[in-house]
Amino acid sequence: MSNTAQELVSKISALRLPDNFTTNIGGEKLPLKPIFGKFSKHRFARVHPGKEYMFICLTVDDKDLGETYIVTPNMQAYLGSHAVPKILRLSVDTTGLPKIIAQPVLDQNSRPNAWHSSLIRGIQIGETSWIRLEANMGASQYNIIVSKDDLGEPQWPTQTMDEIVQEVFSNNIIADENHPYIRQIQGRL
Amino acid sequence: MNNLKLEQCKFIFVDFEFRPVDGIEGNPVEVICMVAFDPQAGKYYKLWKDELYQLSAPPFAIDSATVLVAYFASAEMTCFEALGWTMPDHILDLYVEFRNLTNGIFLPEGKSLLGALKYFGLDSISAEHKDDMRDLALRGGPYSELEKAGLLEYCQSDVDALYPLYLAMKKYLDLPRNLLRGLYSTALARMESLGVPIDHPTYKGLCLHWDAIKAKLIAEVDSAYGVYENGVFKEVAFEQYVKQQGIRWPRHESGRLKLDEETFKLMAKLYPILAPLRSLRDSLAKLRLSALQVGSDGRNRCMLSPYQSITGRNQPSTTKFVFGLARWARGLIQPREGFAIAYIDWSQQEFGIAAALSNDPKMKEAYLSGDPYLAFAKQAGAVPQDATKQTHPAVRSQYKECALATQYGMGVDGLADRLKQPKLRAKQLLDIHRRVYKQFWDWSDNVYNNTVNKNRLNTLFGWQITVPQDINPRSLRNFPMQANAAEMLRIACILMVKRGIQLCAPVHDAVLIEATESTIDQQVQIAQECMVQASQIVLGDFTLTSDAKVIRHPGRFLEDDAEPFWNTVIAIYEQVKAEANEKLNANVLENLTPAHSYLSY
Repeated sequence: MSNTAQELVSKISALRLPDNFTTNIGGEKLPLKPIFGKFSKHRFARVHPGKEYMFICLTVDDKDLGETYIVTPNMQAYLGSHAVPKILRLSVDTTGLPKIIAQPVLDQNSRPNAWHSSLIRGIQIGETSWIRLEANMGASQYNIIVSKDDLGEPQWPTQTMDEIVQEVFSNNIIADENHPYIRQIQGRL
Repeated sequence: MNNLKLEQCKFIFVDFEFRPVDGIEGNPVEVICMVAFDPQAGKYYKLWKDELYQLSAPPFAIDSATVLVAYFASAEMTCFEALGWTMPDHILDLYVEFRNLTNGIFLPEGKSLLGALKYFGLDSISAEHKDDMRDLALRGGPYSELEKAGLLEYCQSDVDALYPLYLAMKKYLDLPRNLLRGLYSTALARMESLGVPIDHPTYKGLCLHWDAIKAKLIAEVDSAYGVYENGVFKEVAFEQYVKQQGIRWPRHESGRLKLDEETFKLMAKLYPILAPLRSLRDSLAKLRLSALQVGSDGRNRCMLSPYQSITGRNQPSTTKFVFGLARWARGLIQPREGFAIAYIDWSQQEFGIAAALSNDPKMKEAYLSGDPYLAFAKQAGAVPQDATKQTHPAVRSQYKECALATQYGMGVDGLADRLKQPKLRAKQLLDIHRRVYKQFWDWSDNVYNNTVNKNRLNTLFGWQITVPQDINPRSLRNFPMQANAAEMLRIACILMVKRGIQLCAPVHDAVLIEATESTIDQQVQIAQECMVQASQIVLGDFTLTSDAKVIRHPGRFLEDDAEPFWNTVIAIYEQVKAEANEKLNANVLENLTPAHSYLSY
């Protein structure tokens, strides 16, 4: 290539504008809002294996409204057997949606519950593999389906577990004896 | 170019009047007159053709600080080419800069010089007077003294309009990049002057017999479908045909069949049995062979209409430019004896640009593998790492369609149609694309958000768009790939012209070049080097490769899928020509009969 052609290449190269497509001035994509729920039967999910993402607490399920509350320990006296100990775990699915899953705590004194034990097993597998769970009503337990392909690394949210629990349950914390749920089970108006 | 500052420049404003030689569209340019204005010296240069053709260089001095200013500079550069003058290094094309300034904005007065003057509230001559003068220029000589004076005066009025327009646009200028865009006009001038070699006798024959060919073409192609009646396409008959074939044809909400070009294109791809019918419809609807601009020397020359599309691509007329015709008609492109042509295009250019701009490591890896579609399938875990195009053609094809669909901004429905698969499969593939190329999608989201915030988006060399209200968000996401591809092509053309390549035409993201049979391989190599350099300039050293197809005389430019229809047309043409000759001979014989009879006595 002649000198003049080479000069032209250098001159044109110098005109390249800074690449403004990769900067974030257009807005930063915030993480998806975490939710509380069960594993999806359609989407594969992973469970965070870290201890810092395990949150042990008492929970109450309001079956009528489909709501779940977390309970401060001092409220157990008001709730009795309604309050059940659970380990809240952080999961995230293939679309990056963070979800709090309630892991049951097995009671050695009560009857074996295959729903609970299969769910715990699923969560354990989910710590290292992509899984989804399907209810198998006939067998009274969950089918655990492990992804055949490697679906890549999960995109974990950057918040701490405390922050996530606070965000998910902000209006669903029972910390006072006058909470509507306690009033309801006591028959108070 | 780079170090020039507006204040240091010496500007020359210039305009030419010209017409094609002998007034035949497609012929090279014949210069009629020129007016140039040097505002610093306050001097006009007004020259008539006799004087211009005597000069070996422009009458005004062009040094390293001189910038030639024109409106639609490729026309002025074509005149430089016709006069044999050396092209200037610095050109400011106010048309291109006006297009760039207003790209995406509706212009009620248009983008002509008059439209630009009105946009800035500047005085201009009337459109009627402009038309009269253009007609006079096109008529050709000999011109009376009065007509000469009128043309020179008209030419000067355009130059006089340029100066205030420049002053009005000055504050928007970004000189080094303006000059780069201006420099492309020199490459355009070369291409518009050289043109594309055409098989002239066949072209003329096809034009002469086109009506008879069309009738026979319908009869021949339609024999497999039975959907034409007296030369007219019948929707009812076509509905019957698709029903018989078990083809689920897309319909309008009203229930009627969708018969637009795009639907036919897609369906012909899905059902190859329909391809000849599609080519027939295409040829009958669009093909006005006589509108193709072929000069007396058998070369297709037309205005390449630079920067016409929103992405800054060339948009030449679909009837005047041979690459705008139906694909089979490109068979008319044929190198002259002793010459060869080469069609060189970047390999998977948009995929490569997307990979480089987003800096997605997996996408880059896929591009560099040489077969990005198979690499995508491997990255998704859909095929083993040792899979090849031959071992996994079906999976590769699905991943290819998916990768292309994301480039075209296609959604689930469109991809499902292309794949002939349920929507679920299309959704799965698009989800996989998002998962595997996460960094690309984050970047794409960012481009979109950034653009929505600023209402403006630009390429790496400053071609910009003000976002129109009605733009499809997918088109906006695709703009960086398309518009930077256009930048890349322009830079490649500039470099090729600089290195002496005989550039015939740009074809979307490819170029057509010409050389003698003995030098074509070397010229292709140089052209490909220029394309590599252009990709590195635009993408910051990420290299895009290119593919070249060389065609030597008497070969023709025919893509595989277009060849059968070309063969059909040519077979019919030969038949029609033979019939016409027979008829002519019979007439001649009939006329000869009395004399012959007389002689026999």
